[in-house]
Amino acid sequence: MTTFKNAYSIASDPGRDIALFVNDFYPEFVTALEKLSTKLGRPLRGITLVDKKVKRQRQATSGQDNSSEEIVLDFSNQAEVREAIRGIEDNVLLLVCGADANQPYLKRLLPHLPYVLGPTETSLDWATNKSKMRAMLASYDRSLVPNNITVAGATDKDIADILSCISFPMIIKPTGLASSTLVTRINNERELRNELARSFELIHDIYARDGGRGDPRMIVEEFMVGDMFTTDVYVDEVGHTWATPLLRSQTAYALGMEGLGFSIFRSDNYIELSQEDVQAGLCTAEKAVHAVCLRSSVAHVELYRTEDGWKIIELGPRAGGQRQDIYELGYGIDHAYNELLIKIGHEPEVKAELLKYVQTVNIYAEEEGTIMAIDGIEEMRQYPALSHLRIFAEPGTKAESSTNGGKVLADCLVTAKDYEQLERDADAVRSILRITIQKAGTQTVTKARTLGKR
Amino acid sequence: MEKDIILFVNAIRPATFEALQMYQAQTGRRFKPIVLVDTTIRHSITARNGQAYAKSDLLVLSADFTSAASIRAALGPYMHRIFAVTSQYENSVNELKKLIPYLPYLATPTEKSLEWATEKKHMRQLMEAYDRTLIPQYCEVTDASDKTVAKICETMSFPLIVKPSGLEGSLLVSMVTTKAELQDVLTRTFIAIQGAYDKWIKRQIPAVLVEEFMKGDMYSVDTYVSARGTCVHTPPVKVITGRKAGFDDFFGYIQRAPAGLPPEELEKAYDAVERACRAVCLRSVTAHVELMRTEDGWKIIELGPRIGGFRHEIYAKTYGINHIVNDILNRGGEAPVIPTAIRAHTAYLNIYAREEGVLAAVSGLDAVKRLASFQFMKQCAYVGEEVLFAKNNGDPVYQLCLSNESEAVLEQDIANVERSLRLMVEQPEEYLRQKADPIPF
Repeated sequence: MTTFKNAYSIASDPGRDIALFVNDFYPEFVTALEKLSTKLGRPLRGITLVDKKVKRQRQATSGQDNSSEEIVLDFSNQAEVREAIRGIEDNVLLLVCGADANQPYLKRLLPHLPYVLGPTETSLDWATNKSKMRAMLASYDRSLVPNNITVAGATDKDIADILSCISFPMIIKPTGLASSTLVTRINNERELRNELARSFELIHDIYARDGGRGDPRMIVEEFMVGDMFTTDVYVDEVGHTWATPLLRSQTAYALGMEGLGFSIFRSDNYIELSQEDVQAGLCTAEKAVHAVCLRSSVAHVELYRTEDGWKIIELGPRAGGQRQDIYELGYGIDHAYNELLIKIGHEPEVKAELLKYVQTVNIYAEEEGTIMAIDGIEEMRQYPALSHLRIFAEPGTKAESSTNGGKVLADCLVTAKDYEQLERDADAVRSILRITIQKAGTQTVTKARTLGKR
Repeated sequence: MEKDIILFVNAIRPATFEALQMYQAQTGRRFKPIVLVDTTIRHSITARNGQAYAKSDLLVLSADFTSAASIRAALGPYMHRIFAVTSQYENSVNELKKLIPYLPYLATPTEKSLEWATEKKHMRQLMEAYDRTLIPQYCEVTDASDKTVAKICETMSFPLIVKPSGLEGSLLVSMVTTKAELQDVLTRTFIAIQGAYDKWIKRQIPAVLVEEFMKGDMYSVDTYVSARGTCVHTPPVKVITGRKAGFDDFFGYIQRAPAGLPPEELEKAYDAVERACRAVCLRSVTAHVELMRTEDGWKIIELGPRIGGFRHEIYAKTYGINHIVNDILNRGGEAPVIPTAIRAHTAYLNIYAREEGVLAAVSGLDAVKRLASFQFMKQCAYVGEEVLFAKNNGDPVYQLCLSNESEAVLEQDIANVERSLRLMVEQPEEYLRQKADPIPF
């Protein structure tokens, strides 16, 4: 008869040496896996499970495949997943899924790996669908979220329903998309009708492009006035939480560039908050993680500090974008390594002592149109304070505002010991990159914004 | 804060109170049972699971399981005291599945695994993917068309078993030996299936499986699957089906423990059980596994993510196993306790009438109650009520537990029950008239 092993730790099982990644393998995990391997005293290897359809789409768009070890399978076929997992299930140490669009695949995979730590399947829905998320947040603590309503269309009835419970100004946003896509501020009924109708015209294509979660719906909520912050929270299998230091985020809208919508223009670790305020913010973020019942996960939480206290904008069951580099440079926190630790039931290593100031520089097109040329990339790379430059824009592709589904064209980090110097460096970096946009017969040049000091 | 609350989803087995008291007397540890019922099915689930037996001082909470606010309001005051959550009845597993995401910091099965372990078509598909030898050849059918029947005849060999994908206890299970029988049984199964799902409070979409008949002896094992997949097995129970006892029906007529399996066969049976639990990815759950010892080795008939019916009583009397408490301990991450020394020989009988109709009279009850092995009896159908075979979605008339230190006395008492207990069934004209319309079987 099999004996019962009560005190079992997955990390102490020497046969478990595989870190399984869902659809994407991010470079920061190469080093993180090496560190974990050293800690556990045994070699570890990463395997990426890639959905057949995702793989086809990638090959169609990029024509290349840079992944190393991977298993391609149809995630929608439970028997195929069961068969694919069977040969490695006793060797899987942990499971990582790093993007909102991949969470539905993680949800399908989790039941096949019941002895590996991970969130519940439904909590992934709650943490990726803004409508469900708000319902869960409100049922946990009504003060966490502003008044909101979800609509499936822009009919007269939908408008009447919205007007009956939400006051202007409002924010409309899709329930299943990330990165401020299609997020718009609404000031009056005319705008509400127009913008809602326009959003529903675009939403199906963007859901298809970005892997939107759930059915395309728009959530309408009261506009929150305040300052935006983010934190990434680690939560273990029994609900203990560890929050990373707060970062300040500023949307283009908040900085006066309404045409760029609510996309994040910059984030940094220059926080002018009292210790009490910081604690209250982190406590609110941890509440949000518990409200959507996450476990064995990292959660990226966006929140507002308003006159009525801290409110949750949204959260996701994954690390925030660029957080690996921000936390590494700013505090010496290895975010990816911590994610691996939390997924084997170990305590993450969170530090709060500031090493240097870090700011993200996110670059968007000022005008919509076709990207004709991108200049200044090499010059940017040479800039001493810059690191981690990524260029997403490609000549010949479309540049669009986030309110129309557009994405960031390039981003990077700047670092400095002194905040004023950081601001100067960020402005300088923005001015180097020149993206030429062709707009309906004319030609304009998108320049990086030079922003005034706070 | 002490974790002392056991959350029972929808219903609690009457034997639970005594099981908890016995555990408290043995260990000093007191568990507080709380039942959480889904308001949307409260009436039907309470009636079906015989909850009139529940103690009046039992705390019964209710919540709308489709509402986060409702569940959180109901559980809020107790959340930090919950040691484990369990569903003791198969018809409440659906609600356990809904509740699991709200209890993320307790050890629970995955939501999907509960679906896989309650729906035979998923169960078969996963077992096939995991280990083809675990199951007989099968297919899922969605209609009784000529095309479907022809396809089955081309790919499978008679005799075949037709069974609903989402019902347990041999309900609507039939054996067919010819193409004509297959078509007839499939037609009638599709007519009857929705009614059966409603009666047994099944929320799935009805589906039908056809599989090759397995010849052999039937057993069941209840297995505690830990959070990390370690399986701790209870001793097997031998099941004599109605068919082996001369009924044209597959219900579990007599369930006997000890099962008398030789050690090498026991190991093979346990191995099959473990593979079945692994195939459907169970954890933090008790699995009730029914399996067949065939010439080709051990095959899985089906499994369920809950303790088997009356297994607590059978195991308690035969081995002194507190099965209900073990289920709780295992779900709470603690080791179950399994004494294996034989204390008595036990038989659990499902007594069906030999023919269908209206129960007119019962004789021999007093004689049965005077038997040395008699333990208890539960009446499920009364005089004047319609009695049906399991294959026609019927309940037994009586469920009877016999136990005795002497195996010979038990054997004799089983024979006495079969000789003494008489169920008189009539088929009055009005009944036959009503039945003249197309009925399932």
